Amino acid sequence: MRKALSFVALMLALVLTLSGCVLRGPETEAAGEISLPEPDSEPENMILGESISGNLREVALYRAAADFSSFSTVNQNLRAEVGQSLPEAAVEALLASGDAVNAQEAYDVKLLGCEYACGTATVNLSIDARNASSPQALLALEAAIGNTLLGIKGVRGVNVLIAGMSEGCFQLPVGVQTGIVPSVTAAYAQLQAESDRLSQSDAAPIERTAMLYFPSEGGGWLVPELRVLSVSGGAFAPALIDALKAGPRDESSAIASIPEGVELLEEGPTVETLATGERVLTLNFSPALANYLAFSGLEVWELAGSITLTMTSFLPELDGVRVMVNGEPITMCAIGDTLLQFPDGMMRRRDFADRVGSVATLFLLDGADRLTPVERAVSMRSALSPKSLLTELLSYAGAEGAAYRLPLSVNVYAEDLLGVQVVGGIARVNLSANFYRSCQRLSPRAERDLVYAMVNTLCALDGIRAVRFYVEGRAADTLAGSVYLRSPLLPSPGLVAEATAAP
Amino acid sequence: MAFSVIGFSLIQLVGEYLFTQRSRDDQRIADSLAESFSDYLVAFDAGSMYESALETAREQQSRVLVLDALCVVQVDTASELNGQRFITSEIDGVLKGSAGAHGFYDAGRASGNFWFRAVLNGFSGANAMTGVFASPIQSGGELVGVLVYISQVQEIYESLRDLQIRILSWMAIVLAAVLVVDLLVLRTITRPIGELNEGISRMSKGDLSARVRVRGNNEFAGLARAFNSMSERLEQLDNSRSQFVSNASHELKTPLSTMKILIETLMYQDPMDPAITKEFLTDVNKEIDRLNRIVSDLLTLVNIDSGVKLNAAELDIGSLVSEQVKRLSPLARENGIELDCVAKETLEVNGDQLKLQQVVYNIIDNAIKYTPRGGEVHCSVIRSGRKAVIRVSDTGVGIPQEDLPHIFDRFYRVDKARSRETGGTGLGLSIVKQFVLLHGGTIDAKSAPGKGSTFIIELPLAEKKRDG
Repeated sequence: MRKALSFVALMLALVLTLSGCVLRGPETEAAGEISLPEPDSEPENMILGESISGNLREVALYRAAADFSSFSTVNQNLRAEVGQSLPEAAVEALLASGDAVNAQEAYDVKLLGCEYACGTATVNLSIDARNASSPQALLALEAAIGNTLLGIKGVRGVNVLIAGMSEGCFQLPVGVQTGIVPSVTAAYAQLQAESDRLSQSDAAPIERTAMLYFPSEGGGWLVPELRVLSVSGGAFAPALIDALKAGPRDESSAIASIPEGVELLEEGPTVETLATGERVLTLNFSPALANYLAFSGLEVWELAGSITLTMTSFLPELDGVRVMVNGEPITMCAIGDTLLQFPDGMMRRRDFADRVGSVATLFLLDGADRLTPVERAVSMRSALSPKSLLTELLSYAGAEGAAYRLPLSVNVYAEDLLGVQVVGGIARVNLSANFYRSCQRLSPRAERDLVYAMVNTLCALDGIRAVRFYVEGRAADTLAGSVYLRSPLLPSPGLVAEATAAP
Repeated sequence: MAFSVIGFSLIQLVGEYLFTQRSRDDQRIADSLAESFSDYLVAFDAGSMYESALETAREQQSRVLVLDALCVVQVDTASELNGQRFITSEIDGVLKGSAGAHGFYDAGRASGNFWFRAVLNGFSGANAMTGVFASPIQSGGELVGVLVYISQVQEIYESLRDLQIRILSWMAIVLAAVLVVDLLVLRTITRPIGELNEGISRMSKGDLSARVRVRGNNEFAGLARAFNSMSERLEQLDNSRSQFVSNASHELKTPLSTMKILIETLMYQDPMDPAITKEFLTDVNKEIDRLNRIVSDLLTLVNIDSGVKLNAAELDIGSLVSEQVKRLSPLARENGIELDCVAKETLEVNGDQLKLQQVVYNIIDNAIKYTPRGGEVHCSVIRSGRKAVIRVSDTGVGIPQEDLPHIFDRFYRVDKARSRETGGTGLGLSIVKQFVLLHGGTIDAKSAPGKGSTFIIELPLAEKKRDG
C-alpha cells in the first residue's frame, strides 16, 4: 500500500513538473546583456532667433498658352524665407520668370502682397496687371497664379486682387479660385455666358466662392474663410452680408461680425462712383447693430474690417465701403492704441489688411488632460513662424483651471525659447536652462505631453516633420527623465486622439 | 508513466508547432511593415506610418512600434511610449545585425525594464502570453530603425492549457484506475500468496497448525483450502504418529517391565520355590510371545503403510469364512460359546487369501474373546449387489458409542485392562481395516453396550470373465 501511494505521489510530481515545463516552453526571457545604442557626440549648437534653411519645395509654375486654351507647367524648387509663405514665394517666382502669361503678354507686374491664412491665399498685384492686352489675358494671369498656388499642399483657395481690388470680368465677381482652371478660353466663355444670363430676370443663380473675414475669437484678428454663395439677380452685397450674419463655420477660432436681426435698411445697396472716380459701396444697417456693438464686446474696427475686407475682396473694382448704422456713417475706430479715421466714411481694404490673421493649430491639454488640437487666431507671420507658435504655446504654461493649458510652470517665459532653426524638415528648438529646470519635476506623463505639445504644434507647420530639442545649445537626454531628446521626435497623431485610439 | 510522457510530449509538439507557425506569420507581418516603413521613416512621415501601423494593429489585434536607430519610439499604435527608448533582446538582436528576431513572454512573469513590462501588461493584460517580433528598417543598406510587432498569443496558450487539463484529467483517471487495480491485485493475488507463503514457512518450521484464510471462491481460495486440508492432514498424521509412537512405546514397555520384575525376582529371591520359578519363567515366556505379536503386528502395519502388494487371486469368500469358523470352533467351545457360519452360495472375490484369512480370523477371534460364556457368535456371507458381505455378530459386552469411531485406530482399546488380559495388541482391528481397504472394501461396526456387536465387511466381487 505504501509503495502504491509512493508511486502515485511520484506520478503526480512528475505530472506537475512536466506540465510546468510544457506551458513555460515558448517563453524566452531577455537573455544576456542588452544595451541601448549610444548617439554620436555633437558639438554645441547655440541656436538663437529663428532661421529656416534647406527647406526647398518643388512647385509647379503654370504658364498660359498663347491662345489661352491651356497651361503648361515648369517645376521649380522654392524656399520660403522666415516670415514668408510658400505661396508668396511661388507668386514671386512666377512673376519673376514671366511664365504667368505668354511672352507676348510680358509686362512688369509686381506683387504688392500675399496674404496666406487658413489655407487661402489673397494675392495683391500691382496696377500693372491691368496692362494686359485683353480681359482674357488678365484672366489668364489670374488663373496661372491660382493654378500654381492650388498645387501647393494646404492651399485651398486663391483670390487675386489688383491694387487691393477684385478685378472681376464682365462686371461680374470672379470670386476665389478653388480648383485648377485648365483652359482660360473656356472659363472666359463661361463668365460671358453668366454675364448674359444675369440680365435676364428669371435667370438661375450664379455660384461664386467668396472670401469672408470674421473677427477672431478673443479679438485682434480678422480671419478669412471660404464660402460658396449662390446669388440671384446680381445681389452680391446682400448675399455677402447674409453670409457674414450666418457666422463662421468654426466658432472656436472666429465669431460672427453681424448678428442675426440686423438688417440692411436699403434692400439693394448700390455702388456709388465718387467725383474722384472711386467706387464706394454704402451699407446702411438697422439700429440693432449699434446695440450689438455696445453690448456684445465686438469692437467697431472688427465690424468695419470684416465688412470692408469681405466686400472689397469680392465685389469688382470696389475702392471702399461706407458702413452706416441707421444713416450714421462710421467715421472712426480704434485698433488698440491706433485710431483710424474715415472722414468721408469710406473704408478701404488697406485700412484693415494688416489685421488679417491666420489660424494656427496649437496642441494643448484639455480639461481631461488629453492633448487636443486647439485653433487659435494669430498673425499671418506668426502662423508661419515656428518660434512664434512655440511662444504662443508657452503662453498657456501653468494656466491651471483654464480650458486649455500646457503642463509647465508659470515661471517659463517666451525668453526661455532661445531659438528655432529649421533644417531639412527638422526644427531644432533651443531651450533655456530655466526651461530645463522647470521641467525637472514633471511626471513622465506631463513630460510626454509637454514635449509632444511642442512637437505636434511645430509639425503642423508646412515643412517641419520632426523636432529636435537642445538645452542651451547642448544635446540633453531628457527634460525630466522620460522622453529621449537626442533623436528628432516625430509627431504623434495617436497621442492627440488617444481617447479613441486603437489598441 | 508512459501515458504522461506521451501526453506531455504531445503537448510539447503541438505547442512548438503552433508557436512556430505563429512566429512565422507574425515575423512576416513585421518584416513587411518594416519594408514599407523604410521610406516613411527616412522622410519623417509620422502620419503615414501611424495610419498604416494602426490599420495593421486593428486588423491583427496587435501593437506596432516604430523605433529609430537610437531605439526611440517614434510611432506607437497605443500612443504610450512615444519618445521613450525601448529595447528588448529581440531589438538588440536586430541592432546587432539580425534579419529578425522574436520571443514569447508571459506578461505576468516577464523580466526586463519597466517599459517592457508595461508594454506587455498594457497590451495583453497580466499573465497573458505575448509575442514580440523585431524587424530591421533599412534604407540604402543602412539600419535606420526597428519595427516591433507585438501580438497576443494567449489563445494558443489557452489551447495548450485546455489540452494539458484534458490530459491531466485522463492521467488522474488512469492513476485512480491503476490504484484500484493495484488494490484489487493486492487483495486477490498478492495477499493470498503472501499468506500461503507465510503458512508454508510456518509449516516448514514445524508448526503444522498453520492455516491460511480462505477468501472468495477462486483458484487462490482453492489453493488455500488445499493447503489447509494438507496441513490438517499432516497435523493429524503427526498427531497419529506421536500417538502411535507413544502407544507403541507403552505397549512395548509393558511386557518388558513385567519381564524385568519377574527376572529380578528370580535373580534376587533365593532360594526360590521351583514351582514359582517355573511359573515366573512361564510368565516371562508369555510376555515374550506378546512382544513378538506386537512386533509382528507393527511390522504388518509398516508393510501396509509402505505399500504392500497383494498376492491377489480369485477365491470363494464363503469357503474362506467357513474355514476360519472351523479353525476357531475349538476356542469357541473352550469358552462355552456357540459359533456358527452361514455361507450358502459361492461368492468369489479377488483377494489375498492369507490376508483375508487374517481379517476374518481376527474379527471372529475378537468376537469370541469379548463374548461371555454361553454367548453366541454368528457368521454369514451373503451377496449384496456386486459385493460380498461378511457379517460377524456376537452377543458380547458390546462397544460404547463414543468408542466406536476409534476402534480401528492403532493401539486403541475400549477396555484396556481386559484387552491385555485377552492377549490383544491393540493393533488387530487396525490391521483388519487396512487389509480390507487394500482389497477395495469397507468395514463397519455396529454395537450397543451389553447387546453385542456386529462387524460388517464388504468386499467387491470378482469380475466374471465371459466365456469365449
